[in-house]
Amino acid sequence: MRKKRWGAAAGSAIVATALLAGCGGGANNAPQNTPSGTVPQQSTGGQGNVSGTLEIQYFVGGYGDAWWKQVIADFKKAYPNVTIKEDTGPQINTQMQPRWASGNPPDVVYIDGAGADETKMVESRQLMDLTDWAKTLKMEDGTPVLEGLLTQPHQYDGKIYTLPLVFDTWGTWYDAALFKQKGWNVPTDFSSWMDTMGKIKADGSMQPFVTTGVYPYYFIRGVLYPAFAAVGGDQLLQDLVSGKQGAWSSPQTLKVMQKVQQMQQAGYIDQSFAALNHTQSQMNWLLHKDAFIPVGFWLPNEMKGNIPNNFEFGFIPTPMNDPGTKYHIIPDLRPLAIAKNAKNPDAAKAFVAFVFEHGQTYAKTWSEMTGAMLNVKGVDLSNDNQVPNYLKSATAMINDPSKVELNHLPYPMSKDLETPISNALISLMQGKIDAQTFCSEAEKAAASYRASGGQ
Amino acid sequence: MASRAEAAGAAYPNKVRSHSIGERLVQGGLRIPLVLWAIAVLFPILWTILAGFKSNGDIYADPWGLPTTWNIQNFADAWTTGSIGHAFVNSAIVTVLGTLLTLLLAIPTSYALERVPFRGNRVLYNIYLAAMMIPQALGWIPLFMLLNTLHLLDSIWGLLLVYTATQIPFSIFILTGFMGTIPRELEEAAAVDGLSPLRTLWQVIAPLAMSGIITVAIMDAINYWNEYFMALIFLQSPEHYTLGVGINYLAETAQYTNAWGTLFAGLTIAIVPVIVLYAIFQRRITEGLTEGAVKG
Amino acid sequence: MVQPQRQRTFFLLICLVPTLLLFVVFTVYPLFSGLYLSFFDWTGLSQHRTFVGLANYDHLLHDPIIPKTIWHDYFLVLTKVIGIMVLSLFFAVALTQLRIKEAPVYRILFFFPNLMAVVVIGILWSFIYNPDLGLINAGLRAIGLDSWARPWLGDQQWALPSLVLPSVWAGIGLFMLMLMGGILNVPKEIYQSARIDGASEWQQFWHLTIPLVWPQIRNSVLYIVITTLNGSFIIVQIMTQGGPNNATQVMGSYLYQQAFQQFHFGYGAAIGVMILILSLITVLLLQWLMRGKRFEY
Repeated sequence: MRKKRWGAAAGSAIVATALLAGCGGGANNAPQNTPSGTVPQQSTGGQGNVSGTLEIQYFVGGYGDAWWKQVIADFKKAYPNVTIKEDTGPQINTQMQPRWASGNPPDVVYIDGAGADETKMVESRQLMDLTDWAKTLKMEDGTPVLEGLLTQPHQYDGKIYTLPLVFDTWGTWYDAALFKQKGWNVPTDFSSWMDTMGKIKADGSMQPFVTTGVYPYYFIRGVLYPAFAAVGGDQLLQDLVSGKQGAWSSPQTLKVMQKVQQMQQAGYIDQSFAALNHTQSQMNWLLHKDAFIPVGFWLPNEMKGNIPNNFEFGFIPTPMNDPGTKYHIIPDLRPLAIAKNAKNPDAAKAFVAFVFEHGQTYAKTWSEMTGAMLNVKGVDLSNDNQVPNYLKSATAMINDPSKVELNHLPYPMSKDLETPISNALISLMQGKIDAQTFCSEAEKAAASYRASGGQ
Repeated sequence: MASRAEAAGAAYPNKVRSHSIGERLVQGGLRIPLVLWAIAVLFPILWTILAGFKSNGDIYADPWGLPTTWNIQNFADAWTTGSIGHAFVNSAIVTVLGTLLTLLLAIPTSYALERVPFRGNRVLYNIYLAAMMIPQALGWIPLFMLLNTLHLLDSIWGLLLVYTATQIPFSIFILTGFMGTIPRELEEAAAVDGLSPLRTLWQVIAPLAMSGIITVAIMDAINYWNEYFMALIFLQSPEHYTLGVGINYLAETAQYTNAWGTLFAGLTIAIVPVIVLYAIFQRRITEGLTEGAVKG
Repeated sequence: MVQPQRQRTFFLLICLVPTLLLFVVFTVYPLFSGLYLSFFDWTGLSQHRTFVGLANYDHLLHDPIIPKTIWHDYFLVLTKVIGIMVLSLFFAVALTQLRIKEAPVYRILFFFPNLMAVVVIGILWSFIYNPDLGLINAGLRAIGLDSWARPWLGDQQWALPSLVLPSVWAGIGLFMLMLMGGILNVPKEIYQSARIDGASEWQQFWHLTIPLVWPQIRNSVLYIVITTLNGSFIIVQIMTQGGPNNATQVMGSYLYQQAFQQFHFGYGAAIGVMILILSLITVLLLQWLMRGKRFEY
């Protein structure tokens, strides 16, 4: 593998204050009273001469597929000459991989879920360079798409290969109704979190904290990233994700891992975590076997149908910050991309353009259908009564710069680094190794990651 | 006491022996592991069937109890979401035709390798033997590209050819063992009678090797019925899924939707018909396997 | 055999060529294609690949996870061989030699797990081991052994041994039937004369039954070893995905993870070559160790 250093340009591009609901005077940005979910009648993106078959690969996980079905149906109406073939499902990435390998990929791909790896796809030259084309895209109200995105696309050597579509936010969930009833405080920082977990432990009715050990990246993204951001900001995140020498064994990293060790030693981590997959851990949490769980915004949608009566979703950015400091949030983006070897690049471009052109409309639809966010600015959810309350309060909190600081990863951590770190993390959380050992293991993993070419 | 001993003796008339009290105790004691294992086998299967009727609430509230309501909807959901209906038919086709094709190809080769001396005979035999050790995953991507070139991708016929090829070495290994025990005089007699080698093979050798053929057929069929990873990669359309892929689809979906009842309904659909079939034909299958084992 | 040369050649061609053709196209070609790929750095995601010579093999020798996976594989081989052979031999003897009236019932029941797909078995046993809902922990708690209850598949020490039980559970029936066949085909007179000579049941078992069914035992062991080295990763992939912290990672699952989840296809292919070589050595060694011993009668 050749050595490549991708530039990290995402950081600068964020305008935190322009986020979502709650930012006053939304009338300017919001689509004018369009009932969300209506079919856009016209498209600006070169309709007419686009035809043929368009193949779209999209992973279906916790968010379900209702949104996709609607968008695709709308697209068909706008482009009646295009036939759409959908490759979908929870295993779609595995199933499609040999197609990519043999140079016969779909046209459009939504990169999300198990088996998807954006960085690897870019690295193996599978995706179309969208740098110049993306600049030409416009939203319904005429704003360029790149300006209308909440978070800018990842850049690889200054080039854009993917357009971030879904804006995921990781944080820690709790049952607000239960906390009220028991008189437990919602933590604002690590020490108040430890206090609350101590009370929960003493109460004896449940374990304080659970996560999924089958997918350790839940803990990495949901707990560690905010913690790293709290001690070292974007720079530390960048260094850790790229496996920079000394980053994983730095005093800042050690400090974070010692917090994890504290949680473990205090007995706050439900030790069944290692055997649980994500839905099992979430089910245990819903059944009040555990009080806190770090998951992304899709949690309520994923668990709908299993939510006990009187359960009230509470969401906070994971409180790994020190007292007197802000919460930290690191957006996790799920992008849309076009295959370099797309057989119908025109239709592929038309589709991607279509989705972002109607970005604000579809962002509302997405929030209504999934209770989560698309990566689009100026979407006013505050008056939308189809949007769940936890989303409104969570977005309000995220948008409050006095409480929350947004940080950014330059690009997702490569599996080559994430896997060995996950393994050491499980051992740390099971009390088999201490924070110091974790850091040296992680540093070793980073060294071999760099040696193999890394990013 | 006497009557029991007589009954036992009657069941095995060729084994007349004395029955000491100690022996009886041993026999009773030996039953315990048998009963325990029978429970160990049956319980999870029964549990699966019961869980297929349960709502999610039931599964979580009382995982090992009886369903509070008998939920038939799970089965309908499994049938549609996992395409279990299609999958069942596909798996049956692949299993039956795959097994027949494997036998059709492996029997003549085994015979030639075992009974017809020719240059390279041992080399070829050892190549087949060694091929049993090939890790399948190594060939997945190349196989995928090959099937793609041959336009056999996303097709149960392509899968059937691949399956057959993977089981040929094992089938040859077992069949040559059986054919080695058939007396050579029979072939010589057949040759004297003017039978062509081909007719000798089908009319004289194959019937004599029948228990071996049944053994191979059963083991191949079990393998084809069970295979999952290649089917997952080579088949893309739900209407072409085999049972393993359909079930795994349900399992993966359940990870995101918590549809555990549906998953267990799917497992039930996958298990029960086969068990029923086996129960019907078990005598024939058992005879094949037990007699077959003699010469293995 | 007296037959014209041409007829013989024709017969040989009919017998060998179609089989060989299918075998070469769908087994040998992909194998060599895979071997060839082990000399490349290739993600398996695109058609772009770089020749790296022996770099993947060099990496293999220095990868600390590889020795673990080898050890785990042989742990599974050993425990499965012992577990399956001991139990299926015991059941086979019990169901043939002892006069148990309901023997056919056991014979039928014990074969049931063999009729279930590995996927089904993996999912089922994941539930049995589930820390909260699972049968095992529920059973332990019911008999007061709360402290023994643990998240079996999440426990670094217990996860690998936990995988043995489903494999044994799923394997017994077939091998039991094969061994029963061997025992039933031993001429009864042999046992009778042994009894007349005053041999105890135990002596009969060791000195008659074992040598007489040795071919079946040998074949069963070989079959278990081959299928474990080649196929144990399926149950691993379904039940633990190699975790926690590689505690259940076997060679095959590591191959799968490297090639299909971390997209180092070339490295995965090198691991495949290692599996092939180790399997060949193991089987040759076993055949040599278990040679002879056949009781001629």
